[in-house]
Amino acid sequence: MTDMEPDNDEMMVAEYALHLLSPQDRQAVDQRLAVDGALRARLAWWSDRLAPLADEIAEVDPPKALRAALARAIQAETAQQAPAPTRRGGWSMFKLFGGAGLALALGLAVMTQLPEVDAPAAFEPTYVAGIAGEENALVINVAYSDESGEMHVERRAGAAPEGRVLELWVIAEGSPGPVSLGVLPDDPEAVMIVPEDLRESMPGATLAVSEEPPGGSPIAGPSGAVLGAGALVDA
Amino acid sequence: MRTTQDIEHMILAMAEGDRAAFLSLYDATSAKLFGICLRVLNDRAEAEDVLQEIFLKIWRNADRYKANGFSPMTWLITVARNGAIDRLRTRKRRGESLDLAEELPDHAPTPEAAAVASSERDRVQGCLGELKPERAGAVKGAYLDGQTYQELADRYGVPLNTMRTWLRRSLQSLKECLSR
Repeated sequence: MTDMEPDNDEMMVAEYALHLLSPQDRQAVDQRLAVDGALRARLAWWSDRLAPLADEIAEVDPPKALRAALARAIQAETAQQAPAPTRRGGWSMFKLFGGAGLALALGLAVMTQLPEVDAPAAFEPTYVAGIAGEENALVINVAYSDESGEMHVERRAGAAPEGRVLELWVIAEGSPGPVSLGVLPDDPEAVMIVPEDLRESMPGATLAVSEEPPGGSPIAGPSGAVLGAGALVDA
Repeated sequence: MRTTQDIEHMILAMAEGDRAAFLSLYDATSAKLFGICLRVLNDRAEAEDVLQEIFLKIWRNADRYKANGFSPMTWLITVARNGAIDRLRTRKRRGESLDLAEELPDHAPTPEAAAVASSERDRVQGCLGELKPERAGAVKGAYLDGQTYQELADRYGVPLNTMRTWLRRSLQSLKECLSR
């Protein structure tokens, strides 16, 4: 095999895909998957190849009432999301764009266009990432320009636990561990500058957010829980 | 006829809050995902409950679908399997058991939802065919029925560690075969 990682990882991911791991081991893999793009790619490889096994399962029509119940549930959910920005004070902007669905759809566009109004020079992102945690408890959009090193961060859902801060990490493609990009400010929208020595590692990298003590992680990597991750892709 | 690309477009539209896309996805895939839930749970009421949870999860996580790199049908099948298996294990932890397999009306997979190419199916089946029958059976027991190492060991009457060894060797062989 040409893989550079030890076979242990390969077997662990295959067992994960089959759902054979103990709850503890499964959780440990979940945490690694959140920050390890290479591991996610291995999982996708196994999952895609095993999925055709499900073809031998006969299809069964679920009861009609279930479809109607789901339609109501998602309608209620989209309706509920609309007033949420009021609490964060961003209401006028969301109202401007109508329903929550549309606001969500336009979220990234809104964010990337704002600097054109505020900043003298237009910010043109070359890469974007959507960082999201389990059940979308945390949602952060990132737009990054590899020319200026400027990174626009917009936290759309979730916050650091009481007395903690959110720290942003970059895991370069094929890199063993996360490198800190800094602590996120309390403000849901922020502009950060990526240090020059880290800019090279940004294309194709995975961004992750962890919760940390004030001031950031006291150790080299995240010390708290990883709350979400997302790949940095071409804008 | 729903192609893989159609399914992917539906998921991407859902990520932007498109409820009509959600219902199209439901119509195209719910029979397949319900079949998976029934196979794992073997209980109609529980499978209906889990199916509902699964589709809510798919709706809420549609914007994250791209990040995991799965093909669209794989993602849906994975969400369904995980939801059903998690429910099965919760039930077992509570010590409940369901002895009777229910009689369920079903129909053969339709081309609409069989978005996974048949060549892929032939491939994994071919590779399983290279394993000893009981070892292939153990892999399928884990994937299709959500069986644990312990349950597989009991089913084949071998010690737990033997089952672990069987499975890992089988997965290694599968890895080589599927990489060819």
